[in-house]
Amino acid sequence: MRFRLVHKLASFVLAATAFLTLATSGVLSTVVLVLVVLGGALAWLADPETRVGLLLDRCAGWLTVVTLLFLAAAVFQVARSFPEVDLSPFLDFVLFLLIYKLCQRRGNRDYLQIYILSFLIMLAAAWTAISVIFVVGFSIYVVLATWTLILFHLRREIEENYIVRHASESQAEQVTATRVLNSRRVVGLSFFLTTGGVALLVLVGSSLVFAMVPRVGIGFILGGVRRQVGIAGFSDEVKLGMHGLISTDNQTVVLRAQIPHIAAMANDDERDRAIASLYWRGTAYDTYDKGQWLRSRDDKARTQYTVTQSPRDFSRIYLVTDALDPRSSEGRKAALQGTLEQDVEIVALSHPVAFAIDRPVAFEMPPPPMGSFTAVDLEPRWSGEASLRMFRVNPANPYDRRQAMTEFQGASYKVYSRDGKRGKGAGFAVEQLAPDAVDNYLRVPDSTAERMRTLAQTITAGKKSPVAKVLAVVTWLKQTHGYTTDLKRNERVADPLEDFLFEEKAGHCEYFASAAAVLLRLSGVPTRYINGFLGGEWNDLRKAVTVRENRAHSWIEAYLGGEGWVRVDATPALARSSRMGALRQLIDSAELFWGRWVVEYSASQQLLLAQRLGRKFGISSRVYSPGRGPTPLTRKQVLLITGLVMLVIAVLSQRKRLRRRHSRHKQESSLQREQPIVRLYQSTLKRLAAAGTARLPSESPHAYLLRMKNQELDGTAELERLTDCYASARYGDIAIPPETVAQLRRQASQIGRPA
Amino acid sequence: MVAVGLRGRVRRWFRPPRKFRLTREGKWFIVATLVLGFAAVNGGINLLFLVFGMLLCLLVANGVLSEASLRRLEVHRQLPLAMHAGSPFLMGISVRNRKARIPTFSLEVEDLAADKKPVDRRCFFLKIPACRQQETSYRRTLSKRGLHRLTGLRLSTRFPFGLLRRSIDVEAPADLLVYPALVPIADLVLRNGLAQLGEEQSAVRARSGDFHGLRELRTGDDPRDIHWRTSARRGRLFVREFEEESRRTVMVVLETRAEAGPAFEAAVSYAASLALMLLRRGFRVGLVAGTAVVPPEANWPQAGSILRCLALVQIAQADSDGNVRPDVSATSRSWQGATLLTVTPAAPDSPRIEAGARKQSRRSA
Repeated sequence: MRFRLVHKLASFVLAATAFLTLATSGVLSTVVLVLVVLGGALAWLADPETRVGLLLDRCAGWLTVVTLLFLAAAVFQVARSFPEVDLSPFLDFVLFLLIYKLCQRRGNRDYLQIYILSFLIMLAAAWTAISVIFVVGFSIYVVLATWTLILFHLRREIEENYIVRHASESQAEQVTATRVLNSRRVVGLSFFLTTGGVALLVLVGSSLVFAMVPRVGIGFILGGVRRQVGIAGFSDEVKLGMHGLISTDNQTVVLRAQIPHIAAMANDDERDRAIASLYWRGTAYDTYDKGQWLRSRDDKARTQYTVTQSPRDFSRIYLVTDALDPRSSEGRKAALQGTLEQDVEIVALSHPVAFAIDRPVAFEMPPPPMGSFTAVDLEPRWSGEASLRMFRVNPANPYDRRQAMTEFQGASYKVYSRDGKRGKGAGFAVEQLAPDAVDNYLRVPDSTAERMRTLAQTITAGKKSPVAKVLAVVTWLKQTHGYTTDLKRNERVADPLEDFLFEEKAGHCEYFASAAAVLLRLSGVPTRYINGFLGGEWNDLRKAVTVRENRAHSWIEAYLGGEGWVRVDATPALARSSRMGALRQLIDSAELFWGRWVVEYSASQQLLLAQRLGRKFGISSRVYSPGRGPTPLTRKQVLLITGLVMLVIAVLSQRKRLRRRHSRHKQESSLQREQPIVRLYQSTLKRLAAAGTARLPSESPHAYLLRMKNQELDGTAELERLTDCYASARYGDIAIPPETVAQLRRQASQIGRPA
Repeated sequence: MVAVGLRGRVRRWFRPPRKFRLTREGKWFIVATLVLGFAAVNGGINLLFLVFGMLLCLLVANGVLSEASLRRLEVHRQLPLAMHAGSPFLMGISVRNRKARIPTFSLEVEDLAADKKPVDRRCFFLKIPACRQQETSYRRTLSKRGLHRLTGLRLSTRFPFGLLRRSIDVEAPADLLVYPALVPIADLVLRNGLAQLGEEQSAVRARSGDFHGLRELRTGDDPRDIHWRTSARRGRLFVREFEEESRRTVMVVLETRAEAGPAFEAAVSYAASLALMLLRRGFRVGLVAGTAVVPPEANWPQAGSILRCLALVQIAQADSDGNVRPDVSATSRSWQGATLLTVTPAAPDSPRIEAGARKQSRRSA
């Protein structure tokens, strides 16, 4: 391919890569995307001598005016957005400028500006990237940037050396540069393969720099302004009908969990069933009013913990208790036995709820990682619900967790859960509980329609125990109502729940759960409404369950007296696969790695990495461990390292000496080939140099002779004869007879000798 | 002496064999890299570290690739046949790439003058494929005659990204012997009444006049003048020399007892130009310049001998007693029938040329 075309293609692809990488971050609107693509296509056709190019040249003035107006508009919009600065208008301006320069590329300066603009766009992509796709775009960009910069350099050298050096009046010299630019022989496949290899090394080097540069800047200390990987929207209140709109198709990952019990299952079907029945308990609500679930925020309903802190590593264990669970402390500790252990990683949530498989018994919050400036702690809320809170670490006092932060960027913790469907709790009978303890869970709005009360009584007629009532309500709902996310709403009915029960008779999990909760309350069974997620997808690569936003689910908990709170799912079961395709598993694993080891890479991970590498290379098995300082190297290791360093230095120094000896030998060989008179002259000069009267590099032989005469050197007459003969032989190609050389050799010994 | 040698060795140890200098783009690149690094560290944005790493590694790659480009290159100078002061000449440079697979891109080659500084011209090679040689040349003009020393060649490149210029100095000493400038002679010759020297020229040497003697055959001699008997006896070709021809021997005498300066240089130029003009017209030309003597010959290599001598001639120097050593006087030698043309430095642009015929018999000493 012709050099000019190769350079053009590389430049365009580089700009396109930067643009597409930015586009994957989702910050560009569809209009901007389309305009940039169209502009890029136009720019490809706008070569200097083409019709499009000539037209653009004629409009250059107008285009400049448009550019200035665009800049002014961007500045105005950014200024208007203060104090919450929004720089996206500047980003749009940079994209516009890129298209403008691509259309107006006439010389090397234009190309350089194109590369700078594409680099700025890549920077913006780094700032806003939310997924692992950035790495793909970045890798391609590195390779292309290497090629493009080399081609640009060659082009510039061609134009500088083939045009400027020669007289500009010569058309022939300009043709030479054009000819070279159109040559097919400047670069070829081997060139791209070799430089591509260099580019890959640059990529590897970038990764090493990324891993090794210490994360100790202000940004990290203050918790950083790191872009969140992707925020899953989880509402803190429930309005009937919003669930379907928000999260049905949303693939945003909410959490990932490693569950040893499930990972140990060998049978895929058994594992699928187990995963399909995982209820991830999130938020709990106790008040229903006109289609909304809220929290009463009653202190009596507040979640209670017993906290145990490890003095060794400052981790905390929160044992969850319930206001209605009167077990003793021994009983509570015993509850940990036989629980399901989960290692949960919350990716990012708009409301940081501590999710756990129903029913969480204890949360174990890890200590702040070494080198980290922030940590996450648990905060109790209501009805067994807990939330997560980031706080700034106080290096002086690890127990101090008062410096709370408003940002939340994910968390990792351990949870121990028991099966929420089987109570196993020593709860009291409802009649034994104080009224104000259960009021929240029995209350229904006064505006509840009479027919709903009648319906509740009808369904639970003849049922005495709470269990029987629950079964009756759930059975009735599943038999008479269908599941759909395509909600239809009769606006004449004020309460959407009433509309669901009596008019539409179809809805999704929120409706089923709300209906079951209200009907059971009307039947005298305390209930609370739970929002969370159901099931997940198994990632065989990471041996973990991935839960996405489209798995959002609602159910209720009913208080069954001696059983305590029991999970009740009134929604008809939907068959959903718990398996992930191979590609999806790979992407999911990559996203996990991306989030943990790239986006949230911090000093603690650096230390962890160093520890793992040290262990791998056997430097020390305990370079770092919590609570202990680094272990020093052994004497043997020190001697080994010192010996290696000295060996390297010795080899390098010998190499230099050998090289010098070789070049001296070459010089001597070439001298020996010269005439004897030349050797005699050179040796005389060496002798005089040794005596402190060296010939300067800028001195000709006769100038040197003159200087020696002026310095009244002894033997100048002999030196003069020697110089004349040398000059004749060296420059005059005159052969000096051997006897003359012999005579001169005898006389040369007098030169420089004291008289 | 020992200390100087050791110091030289130590200095050579610390002085790296390669030199590099940041270009303007390289300086901006480094500034941008540092700013980005600062922003990454203090902004707490991990992905900026990747971009920062990319910039750093591109800088390192620039150094590595430029080093690879300069390795295993053989460079030679091709000196022109003749260089005259004030006249441009082409200095040939050839570079052989001894690398097995890797071409060398964007190579610049400059000559280094005696003070190790590059001359103001350079050669550019866009691409030298592996195991190939390329040649080019640069045009240069030296204003002064004499010996000009070149100490070496500097190979430099800005490949691959143009961020820094890496160069290596190769020792390749060469002495350029620059002949005196040539000036037009004809008018001056006419002015000084030497027209007869020009008008009587012919392409073929004249055979008029009395028999003068025998001499060896030279280029341009008429084959009819070959003296076969002597040639057979001697084993070389000899021709008869006629009296007319003997008048065609000219000794150009350059007066060196003068002051150094433009006048002397002009005289040297005129002497050279005169000698060449006469040689071209078939004269036997010799030169006396100070203590240097070039016996008269009529072949073209004689031009080289005369020019070399004139390139190096200096003004006569006084000895310790203040006496200027007399030049080899044209009168102290017997040039058989040679005409002496003495060139004396006068005004800078018009040295004086005086003709003096020196006729002697064939048997004079």
